[in-house]
Amino acid sequence: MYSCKQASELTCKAQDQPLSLREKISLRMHLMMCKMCRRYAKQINFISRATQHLSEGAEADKNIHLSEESRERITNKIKQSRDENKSD
Amino acid sequence: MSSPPESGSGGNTSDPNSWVAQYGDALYRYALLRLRDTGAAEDVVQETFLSALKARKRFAGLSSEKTWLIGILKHKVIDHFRKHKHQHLSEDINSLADQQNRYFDESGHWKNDIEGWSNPDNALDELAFIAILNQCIEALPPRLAQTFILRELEDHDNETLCKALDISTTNNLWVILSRARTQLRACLDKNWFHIEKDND
Repeated sequence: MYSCKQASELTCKAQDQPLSLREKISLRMHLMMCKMCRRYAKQINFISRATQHLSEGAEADKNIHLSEESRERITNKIKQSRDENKSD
Repeated sequence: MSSPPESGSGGNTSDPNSWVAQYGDALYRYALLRLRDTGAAEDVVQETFLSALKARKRFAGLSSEKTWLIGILKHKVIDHFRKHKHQHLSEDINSLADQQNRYFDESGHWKNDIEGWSNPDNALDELAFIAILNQCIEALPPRLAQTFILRELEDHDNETLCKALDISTTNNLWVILSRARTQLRACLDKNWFHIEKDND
């Protein structure tokens, strides 16, 4: 029988890869009887969804942008690289 | 170096001189979220454009130009981690496991009750919640934060992730991710879902 500690570890592992049949059954048995681990599992799932949400927000956030200097530096690098390729 | 015999500027992409204006900020935001370092994010954006320049003859237009650039950027992000291994905090799996043990008593039961979160999905629309989540991720040790973010936002397999982040075994990857998630859960619990409300 799993402890809550083992169940929490398997819950996390299940976020990233399929569990073996044995692990799946043992985890399910534990979750059936343990309210706290059920809550934990739900919350860990939610955190994944929330992180997706955070990334979508951050990737659309117009307040985050390249500084003027780095924009200029990168633009110049691109031009320079193109010029070099033309000349050889 | 042999140069391809194509004439003129060639390539199937838009004019590279317009790339920074068109895609610079989007790529930068993508990189910054994963690398959590402005200088490193600027560097990988530059490397991405320079690689794209060399590869643009092969751009077949099957995906949008932005998707194509993001694809190159994904590799640059992983390369960055691979190249900067020495910057990783030394991986002390035993101490991570110890920290994780603090949540449990000797028999492996939760030391403190896990309280339920009511309607957590409602929080997703609140900017204040997203800010708290971001702070909780920031509060993780850098290595845990990077591993967690790359795992959640990219679909690299375990091996790629372990190699890039210099994690010696897949088992250690589980230790790191369990630790990161359990700490994030506790942080959100304390700072959002069960915050002491009469304390203002």
